[in-house]
Amino acid sequence: MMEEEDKLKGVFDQFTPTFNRGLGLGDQADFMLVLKARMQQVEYIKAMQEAQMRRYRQSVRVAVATAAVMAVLIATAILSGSTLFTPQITGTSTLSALAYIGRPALLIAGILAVCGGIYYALASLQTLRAAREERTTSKTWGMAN
Amino acid sequence: MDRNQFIALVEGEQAQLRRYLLALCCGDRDEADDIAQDALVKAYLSSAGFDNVERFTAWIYTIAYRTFIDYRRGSRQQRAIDECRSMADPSQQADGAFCYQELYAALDQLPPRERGAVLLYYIKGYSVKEIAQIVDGSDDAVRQQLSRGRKHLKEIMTL
Repeated sequence: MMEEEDKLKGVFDQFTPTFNRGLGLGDQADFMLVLKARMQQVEYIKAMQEAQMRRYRQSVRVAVATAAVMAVLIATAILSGSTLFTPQITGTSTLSALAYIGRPALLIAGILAVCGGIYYALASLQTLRAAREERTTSKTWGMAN
Repeated sequence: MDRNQFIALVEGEQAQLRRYLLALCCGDRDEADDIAQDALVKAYLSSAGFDNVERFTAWIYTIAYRTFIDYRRGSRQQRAIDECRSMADPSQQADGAFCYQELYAALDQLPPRERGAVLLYYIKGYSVKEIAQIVDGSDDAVRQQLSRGRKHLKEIMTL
C-alpha cells in the first residue's frame, strides 16, 4: 500500500510540464502580460461604473432638490393667495363652467407638480438601486469568497 | 491588498497554479490558461477586501477550482469541439504534453471533484482539511474522493 502510494506520488513529482509556446517573451512573462492587460481592462470597467454611479447619484440629488423647491414655491403661492396662476376668465354665465374648472386649477397644478417631482425622485432612486445591484454583481462576478 | 502586492503574490504562485490547472484540465493548455486568467481576474476584483496574505494561495486555489467547475458545467459542447481542433493541430501535442499523455488520459477518466481532490493532495500537498475548505466540501467527502481517486488512478495506470 505504502509502495503504491509512493508510486502515485512519484508520478506527480515527475509532472513538471513546460508552458513555453514560443510567444516571444518567455512563458511566465507572457502569462503575466496578458493578466496585467486584463486587470487593466477590469479597472477601466470599474472606473466607468463608478462614474455612472456618480451621475445617477447626482441626478437623484437634482430631482429631490427640484421637487422640494417646487413644493415650497407652490405651497407659498397657495398660502399667500397669489393670483399668479389664477385663470383670468372674463365673460358672463356662458363661461361659468370654465370658471368652475379654473378656480381649483392652482391647487390641481400644485398637486400634479409635487406628484411629478416625487415620481421623478422615486424613479431615479429605483434606477440608482438597479445600478448599484449591477455594480455589486459585476464586482463579485461569481465570487462567493 | 493593492495591485502591486497582488501581482507580486501571483507572480510567485502562477507556475504552480497553472501546473495544477493543466492536470485538472487533463493536458488542455488553452483551457488551463483561460481558467487561470479568469480565476486571477476574479481574485483581483475581490482583492481589495482581502488582507490575509498567508491564506492567499489557498484562496487563489479555491477560486481556480470553482472557476474550473463552472467552466466544465458551461462548456461541455465547446470542449468537444476544442478537443477535435487540438487533435488536428500537431503543435499542441509536440512538446512536453506527449510524455504526460498517460497521466492526462488517466485523470480524464476521474470525475472532476475526485480529480480536483487528488491533484490538490499530490501537487500542492494540501491536507484533507485544507482541500475540504478549497472545494467547499466536508472532510469525509474529501477523504472518500481521495480514496476513490487514488484507487481509480492506480487501476488505470496499472501501478
